[in-house]
Amino acid sequence: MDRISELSLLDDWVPIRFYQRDEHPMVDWCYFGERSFTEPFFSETVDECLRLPFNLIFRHQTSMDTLRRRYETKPGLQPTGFVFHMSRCGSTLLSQLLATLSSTIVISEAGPIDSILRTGLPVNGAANDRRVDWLRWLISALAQPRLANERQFFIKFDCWNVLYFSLIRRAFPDVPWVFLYRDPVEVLVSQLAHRGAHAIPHAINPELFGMDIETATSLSPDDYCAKVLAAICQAGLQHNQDGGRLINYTQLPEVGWTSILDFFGASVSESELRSMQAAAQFDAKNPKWVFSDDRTRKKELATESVRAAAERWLYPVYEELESARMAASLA
Amino acid sequence: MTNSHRLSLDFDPLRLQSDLQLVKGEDWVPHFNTNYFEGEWSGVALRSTGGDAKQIYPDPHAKGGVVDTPILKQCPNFRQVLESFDCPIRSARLLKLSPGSSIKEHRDYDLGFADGEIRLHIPIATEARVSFFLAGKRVQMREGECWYLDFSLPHRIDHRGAADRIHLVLDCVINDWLLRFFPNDIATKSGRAPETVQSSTPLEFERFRQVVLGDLELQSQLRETFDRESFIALVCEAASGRGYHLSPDDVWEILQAARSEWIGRWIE
Repeated sequence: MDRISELSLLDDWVPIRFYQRDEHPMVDWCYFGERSFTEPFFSETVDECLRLPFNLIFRHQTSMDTLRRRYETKPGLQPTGFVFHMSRCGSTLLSQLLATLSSTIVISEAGPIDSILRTGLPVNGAANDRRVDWLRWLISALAQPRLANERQFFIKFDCWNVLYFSLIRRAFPDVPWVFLYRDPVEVLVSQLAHRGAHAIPHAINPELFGMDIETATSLSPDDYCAKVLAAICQAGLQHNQDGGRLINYTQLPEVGWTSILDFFGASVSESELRSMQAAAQFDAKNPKWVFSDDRTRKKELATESVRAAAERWLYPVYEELESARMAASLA
Repeated sequence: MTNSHRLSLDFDPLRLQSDLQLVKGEDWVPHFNTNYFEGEWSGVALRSTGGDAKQIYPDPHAKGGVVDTPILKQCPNFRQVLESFDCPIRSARLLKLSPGSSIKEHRDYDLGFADGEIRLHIPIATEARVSFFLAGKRVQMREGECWYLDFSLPHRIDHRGAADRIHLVLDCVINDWLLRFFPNDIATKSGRAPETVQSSTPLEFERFRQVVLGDLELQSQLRETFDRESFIALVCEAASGRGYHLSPDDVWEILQAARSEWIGRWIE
């Protein structure tokens, strides 16, 4: 089969996993057809697709070279904007608001993106070049319009991905991005009730957050989680001048259909604006529930040790984020 | 996968013990299978098929929905434990072993990573004189800790202590959230070669798979059904029409293997 038709066999297929086979990086593709990413998270959409028996046993497995050639022939949409965040701070609400725009693809916390970033700890120099390329190729395969009118493309990253900011920036130097954060006690209460991968020392290498494994395991869960979140916030703050915009949870949801859209240069029609405002009433992770501002309840649930951990590790960087945000809004 | 693994999830034993006070003596249902234990062994269901608190044996093959029992509804701390799991819990039970009891060595099947469901133990009341052995090695689980144990390995218990040993036992459906508590995906989700469909399936299927992946029309025919049975029939028919011989059992096994592979893609 010639090269072009081999590549066109991947039309309407989406890379759902990046993995290594016998030391070779590989891409696992699943047929999506006209299915859009409507679920709050990428993995949920993939799980839905895998309910089709065909998708369980008939999947293309290709080399990175095929991914590169796809990128060269069909680069897809240029990303409109990136969303980074500290977790539990309204980022899913924001991505779901963007997803209500009819001409828009929103990819939220996609496993293969995270896998490429985490094939090693952040390193500088030539060792990164390959990962920068992989990231660009993979994202281009996720950016393929499969429905006729898709023109805009957003990515919400996993919260720890902001620690790979330099690498992501090299792959996409001009894409505007926001960093979303929230009052530390509220985030900590949410994390400790229901922990994400980054709050578990085993799940993600603590070195990513600047801790060795001994330090990580010797800390209390409250302190560990607070230090991880502080490292994430620090990265958002540090790179803020490089095309970023800081957003506090308190600005949601209104900011989702006002200044963020202008900042991303995204276009929105009157009717899309109304559906965004309607979507904002529902809980983003559980669309059957009505969204409620739970700040007071979260604060009340905080134990002394949570408050102490927030005070010690997180409030200093939170204050810095707030000052930087205020300064930017005055500028 | 190791035989036993303590998850980095701890619960407050005092709060769990305070909920135990809310469970009445008559709520405990004795365990009747006396073949493999001596002494007194009983349970209370907190979440079960149909929501019956006396349904203390979870049926892994049961179809109907799982429902919280009235006892769970009156125990806020147990509820909070269940709510903190971001994965479906198919069964939640309190299991009690009285002092002086012992459970003879045995194995429990149907609960393992390959089945998509695992059993977790959270000791609520226990003491050092309870000895639990898994594959001949003692595993000491303390109050408030959360443990995964591979119960398909031989295991036994000797309770030489003075008070009831009570565990909260959860049967959890494996999802990404739960997998993150297991150590083997430490550095990266992509750190190892997953068992690909190719390596675990007959060559005959692999040849047919390549035919399907190159034939758009055949693909759209095979995508028409969500129903497993009719899909298997379609695959067998399409294969045989092209000179490949696959039995319905072959295809069924290939589907099972693919499902387990996807669920376990980040586990070594």
